[in-house]
Amino acid sequence: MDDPYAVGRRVFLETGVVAAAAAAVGCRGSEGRFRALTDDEARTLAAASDRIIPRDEDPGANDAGVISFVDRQLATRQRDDLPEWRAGLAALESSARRRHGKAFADLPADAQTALLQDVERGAVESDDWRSVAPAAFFARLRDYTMMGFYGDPRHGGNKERVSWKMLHIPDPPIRGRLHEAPSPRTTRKG
Amino acid sequence: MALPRVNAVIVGSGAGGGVVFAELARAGLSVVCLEKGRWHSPFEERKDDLVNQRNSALGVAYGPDEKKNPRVFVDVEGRERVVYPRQGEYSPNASCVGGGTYSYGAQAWRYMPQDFRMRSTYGAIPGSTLDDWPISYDDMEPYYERAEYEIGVSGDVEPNPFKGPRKKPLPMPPMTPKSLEYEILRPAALRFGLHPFDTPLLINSVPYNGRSACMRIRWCVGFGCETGAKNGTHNTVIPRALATGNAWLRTECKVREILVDGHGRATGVAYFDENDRLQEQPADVVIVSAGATESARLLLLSKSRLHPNGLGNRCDWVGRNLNGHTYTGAVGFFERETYDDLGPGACISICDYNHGTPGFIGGGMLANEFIRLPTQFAGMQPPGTPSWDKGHKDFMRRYYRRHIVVVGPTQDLPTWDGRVQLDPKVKDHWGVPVLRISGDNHPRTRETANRQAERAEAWLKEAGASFVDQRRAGRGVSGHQHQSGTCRMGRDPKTSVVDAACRIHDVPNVFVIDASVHVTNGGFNPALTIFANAYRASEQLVTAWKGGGLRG
Repeated sequence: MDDPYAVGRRVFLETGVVAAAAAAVGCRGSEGRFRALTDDEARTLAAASDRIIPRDEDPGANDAGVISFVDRQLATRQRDDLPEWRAGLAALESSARRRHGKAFADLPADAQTALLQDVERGAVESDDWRSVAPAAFFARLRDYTMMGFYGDPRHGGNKERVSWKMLHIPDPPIRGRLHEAPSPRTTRKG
Repeated sequence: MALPRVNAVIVGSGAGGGVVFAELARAGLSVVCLEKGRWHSPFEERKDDLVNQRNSALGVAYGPDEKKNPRVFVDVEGRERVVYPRQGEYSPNASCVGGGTYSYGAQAWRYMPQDFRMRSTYGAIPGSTLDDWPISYDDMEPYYERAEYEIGVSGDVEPNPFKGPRKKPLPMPPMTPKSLEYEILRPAALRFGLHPFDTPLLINSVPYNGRSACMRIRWCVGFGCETGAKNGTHNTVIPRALATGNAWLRTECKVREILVDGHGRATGVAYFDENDRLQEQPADVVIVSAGATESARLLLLSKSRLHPNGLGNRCDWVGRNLNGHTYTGAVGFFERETYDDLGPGACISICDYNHGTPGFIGGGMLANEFIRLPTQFAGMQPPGTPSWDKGHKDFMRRYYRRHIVVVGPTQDLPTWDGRVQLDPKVKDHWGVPVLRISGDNHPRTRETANRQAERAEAWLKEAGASFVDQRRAGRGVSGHQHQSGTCRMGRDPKTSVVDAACRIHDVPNVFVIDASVHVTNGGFNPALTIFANAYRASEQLVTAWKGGGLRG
């Protein structure tokens, strides 16, 4: 079934675009780059999701369009979840500024990872996390990053099926190959 | 205003209702089938990893509607919350023409003879309402055969020495070529002295009944089939019913209650049509086939002067004994490739551990699992493996193509407190009280299920897994797609809801024909048993109809 909420406007987001977005003033709706998130929220989310699935010899979360995946969900099916995401991203930002005096996205990768580990086990300053439970927010962040990276491209993530190529599963999916001899090697790429 | 009267109205078009629809129509009755969901077309199938009936992270593909159909779930600690169809606690089953059979995994199991005699086999179990069915495997055998041939089953169960007697082989051979998992697991099972065989599937391995053979793609369980190779009621018995000219299927019709006259006899049903207008469908006979959760709900909603607690509920048995299966197993991680992208995945089974283990009750079959899509495997890292960061990405790259899952449905011991009832507060979109699901699985079920997990681990290790992660039994009442038991079949009206003909004990013209009537649910996927029992009950219903006893 097609995504009933899909609209014509598609947001293609490269890592470079996130950097550009960083310069933009935080705004939302039709004025921003995103349908649900503000540019600042997207920037925090981009940095955090790249720690969940970092780029190495294979693409990372942002290369796969995880931000546009999350943004599209929050503008459509999961609209009701937007306040909780917004509170979580703001809390993450507060914790980063309290500990390091900098925006989360501007921290070195190691410091970002260390802070996310603390969020995951709830070891963060409660003043920053009054309206959302840190562990629950982290679980959501991780789950959505995984979905955006490994899930179906139609939802805005897994751009050009990067994760399926990474896992060496047939791309595009082979159909109608009844009685073809199984030969996993022939499906390998790269 | 009431619609023109018909002989029979059926609520639901799944494994139970679909078969009854065809059988009554073929016997010449005028029949209306009311289905809550839509009729999905194979041509609109788009395989979506995140929106389907198996992985519903972003929603379910075939209903029920996310917003309009809440339920209340009460956990084992007594905490309650409102739940929605995408959540497991909801016990969702697809709500569309075909019901669960539109998108199921389609395993086609006959229960074993002992499964119909659980009380006689294991005795009374404290804390469980365990009982025998009022019918035996031998009573069911001819109808199992009919279901296998009329709906269509492939596989090869002949090497399974634990099966009940059967007269004919399955109508279709197993799928070829065999998948890599089959080639790895089979010799390991044989070395253990087990008896592996080809999992029976309601999927065409060769062209059958005018539809094509399976194309072996990885999106199968939880998805509709665009080539129609997966056999459900939507592409077999329902078209046959409609072809008679005296059967009508109405979609997006939500039945609110069974209407009852002053003598306690049903006169038809009231339902909200596709435009949410309230309609009345008068009928001589009402057949409830909405699945174990919704069938019980409809009986409970149908209160009248002579049935103040709902239809069939004089002794408070409606909604009790809810059970599905307690699933356990193991994930084996290999150093060799195990993945060949040949769907549907499930292809090899054993029944060696179903009954016969001293000290344990029941058991279940064990089989390799349907293909795990990447988004599902992303949550399957074993303890000690990072759930994110580079360590998780390395896990995905190393093991997505090098793992096998062996799982099985352990037969649940039904309990009095594992139940659905009407919630006193929460209503659905149409203002009708929703279900409240509560209870726990039985501790001895969990014991058996954990033993099965150990056996799955042993099989995977013998097959060469370098390490194995057991999936052990969780707490909580089971239900889900295998939901059963809420309108128990029995001889004694004090301890059951329907008789052996699936007729409500104290209402002469209302039948429940789906897994609600299962006294126990076997150690197997229940679909073929629902089909078979529907053939059996339909035959008795038609006989009663011809005898004139059912006409109003």
